[in-house]
Amino acid sequence: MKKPLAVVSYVALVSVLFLGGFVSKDLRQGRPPAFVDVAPKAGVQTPTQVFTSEYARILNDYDKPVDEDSLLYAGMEGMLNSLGDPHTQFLEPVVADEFEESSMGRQSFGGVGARLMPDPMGVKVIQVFKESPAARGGVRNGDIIVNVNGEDVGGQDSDEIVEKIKGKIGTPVTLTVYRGGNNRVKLTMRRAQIIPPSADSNILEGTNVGYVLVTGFEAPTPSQFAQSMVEMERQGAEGIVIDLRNNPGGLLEAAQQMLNLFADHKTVVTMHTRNGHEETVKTDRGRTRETLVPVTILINEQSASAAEIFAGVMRDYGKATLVGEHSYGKASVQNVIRVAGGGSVKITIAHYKLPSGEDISRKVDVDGRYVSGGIKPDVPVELNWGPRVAMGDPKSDNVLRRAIEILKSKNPRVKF
Amino acid sequence: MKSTSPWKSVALLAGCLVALGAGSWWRDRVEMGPQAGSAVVQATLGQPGRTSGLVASTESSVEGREAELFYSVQELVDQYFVQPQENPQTLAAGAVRGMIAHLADPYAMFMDADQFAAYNRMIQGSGEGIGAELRLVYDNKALEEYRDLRKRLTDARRTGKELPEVDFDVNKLMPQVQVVAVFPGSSADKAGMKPGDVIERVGAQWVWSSRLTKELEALRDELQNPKTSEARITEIRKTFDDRSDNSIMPARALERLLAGKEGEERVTWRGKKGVRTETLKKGSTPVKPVLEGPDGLQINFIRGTAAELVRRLGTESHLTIDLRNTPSGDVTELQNVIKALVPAGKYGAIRNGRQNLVKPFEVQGTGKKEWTFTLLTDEYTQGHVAILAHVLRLSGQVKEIIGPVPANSATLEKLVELPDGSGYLLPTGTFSAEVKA
Repeated sequence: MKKPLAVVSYVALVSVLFLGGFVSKDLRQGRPPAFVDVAPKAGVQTPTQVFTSEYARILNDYDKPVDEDSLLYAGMEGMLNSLGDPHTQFLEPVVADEFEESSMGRQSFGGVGARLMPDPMGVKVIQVFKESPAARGGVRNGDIIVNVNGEDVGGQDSDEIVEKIKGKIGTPVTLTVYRGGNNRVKLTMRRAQIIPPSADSNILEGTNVGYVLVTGFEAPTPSQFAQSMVEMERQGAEGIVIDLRNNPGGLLEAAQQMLNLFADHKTVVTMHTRNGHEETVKTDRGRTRETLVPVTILINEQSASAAEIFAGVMRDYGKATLVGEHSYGKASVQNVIRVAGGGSVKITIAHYKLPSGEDISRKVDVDGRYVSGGIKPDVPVELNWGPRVAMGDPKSDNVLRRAIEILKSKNPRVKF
Repeated sequence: MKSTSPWKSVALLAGCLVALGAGSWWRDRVEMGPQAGSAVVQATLGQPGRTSGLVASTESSVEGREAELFYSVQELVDQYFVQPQENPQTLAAGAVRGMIAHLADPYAMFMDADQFAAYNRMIQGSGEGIGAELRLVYDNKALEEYRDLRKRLTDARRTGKELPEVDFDVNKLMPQVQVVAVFPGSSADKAGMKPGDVIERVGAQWVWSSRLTKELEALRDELQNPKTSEARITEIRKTFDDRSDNSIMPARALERLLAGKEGEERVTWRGKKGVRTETLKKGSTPVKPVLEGPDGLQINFIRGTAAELVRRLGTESHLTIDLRNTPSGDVTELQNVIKALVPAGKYGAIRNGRQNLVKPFEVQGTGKKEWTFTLLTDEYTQGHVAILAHVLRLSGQVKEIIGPVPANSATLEKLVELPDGSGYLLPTGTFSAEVKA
């Protein structure tokens, strides 16, 4: 007699469970159960609906005319800013193109190919780029340019003088350079497209120390860097200063390739993505070139990203002493993804840690001011900046001087 | 059921589990409600310009270029951004914040959820912070110049033409934090803060301004001078470091002084009588719709102002209103006050610059012609307050204006609330007393 009741209750139970399974799927996926009327309630809008209606409101009701595209891109920019990560950005179509260009190599201008610093007599040549018009025309490191195309430039602003030296590709420019005493030389050369190397080197004036300036981490940087290291060794450098100050970084791969010279199949960074996934980037096998002389690396708060990785890994493996000020603290990796309409999203996909396990990510207060993070230098030195200071000039750059002293303490053959 | 064998219980239990699983499985294969079918259709047909594989969302219809872009960026954040996001509405609010900032308009203002709540409390009669209304005041000429330059740059980039020469000092865009009104009885009032005063320092921090930038530029020039001594260079370096370590952006300064009911702030401000520094207590200041001041009625455009004025006009047909220290308040209440005081008619015009429309400012007023007013004004009688003054003047109800006649145009805004609790003010037109519609 009880059996039919049991069967009925079992069937009822099964039905309820079926329904439960059906509804729970909806609930787990954040939908209202399918039986509930899902017509959007007033006030419950999806983020896309909120955005589109406010976009339309601003376009239609705002007091002044607005450019549709610019407003849309400003919205995308604000949307990604709300994530609170300064490295996640929206790149407008034109900017996105420029970003690709600048990762491929530097933008070019018509010039003579030299790095200059201000000087009361005009501008002083710190570094002549290899095979540049300046190099072919006979300009040397240490020359002071006192006259450009017949005009005396003594006492002028260095930016103004540089503008006068630059010009249309193929046009001639005549420079008078001063080489001490009564030695003035007139040199003529043709301006050419200059692609400043992102790694270049010279033996510092009055020393036997090699100075390798790395200004970015781009596709051509590793080979330029390797060449620079070889060149310095060939010229008998007894110590090497790698200057990464103001180096904003660039490609992680470039840093990894440069580290190949110093560490054999060693961890560069460990990356952590959003789902707890870990990935380790290592240097290649069998590509090290032993550096027999001591190395110091200069960093400051504008050294970021790949520059910090390079400096941090060199320190972690005991390959270099870091000198200067703490670095920026960008411990994240971005991907650039194209979206509809030609723009791109640069998005932080992972955080990384150095081989020592150190997390160097920058912490700021509510006003965006630095609190902690970045790589701490082994030897902290603050730059005494001023009008007569040029970075890379051992006479006026106190951080560079300190770095050379450290090299000297490790290798008595260093002359300074 | 007592005699049930163990295997039978297992079978029954298994049946239950199968039912549960089947329900869940079946749910995946049917679509119900107004969103039915959309995900399936999108998955098979795809959508031009849309990243493939991004269709598994509850969002059904994505229409228009802007919706498509927003949606695909949101999906990228959901898939790749290193930190999972809790509230997707934050992204929409962020996008609105970005659009409002882009307008570079001093009257367009985005408020996050806390600020918006404080703003709402203020227009309902409860002031916070140091007890003053503060505003960011921009150099309008510089703003115009900036917008024009931005437009020319954008046009040149889109058309591939040579970029125009850029010679613009962005520091000119830095606003000043100016006092609009001081709530009677608040700590700002007791300390003697007055409309028009400019906040220069909050705590140890300097408020960034074009003035501060000029100061630093002068130092930089001195630094470039070859005659500057080493001792002076060291001194200048110190000043630079101090200013950059101890500075605060104008918008942040404003937020710090206006929000909160507890604690105190040491504030330095520049007024007509020079520079003063005082420690101001934060607290909640009750704001009344209408207050008897020494020279006349002081009004706030908050809930109840119109009703209170009408009540007073029931007993006396002439009111003296002091408009010299009036917060801009709520634009809806401004409209209520105007409606309550003037008879039906057209007073001045509203111009919308985008649509290039000039419409008469038509008021379905319920006021009486015989109600008259004496108005007290000064150079800070601006904005909403100026609109009220002009409408009363045009209706012929003003007996006398004691003080300068306010500028004849003022901005009108709309207040919009967003789902995450934030909101914004959007300028929608300019009231003009002189334009003939």
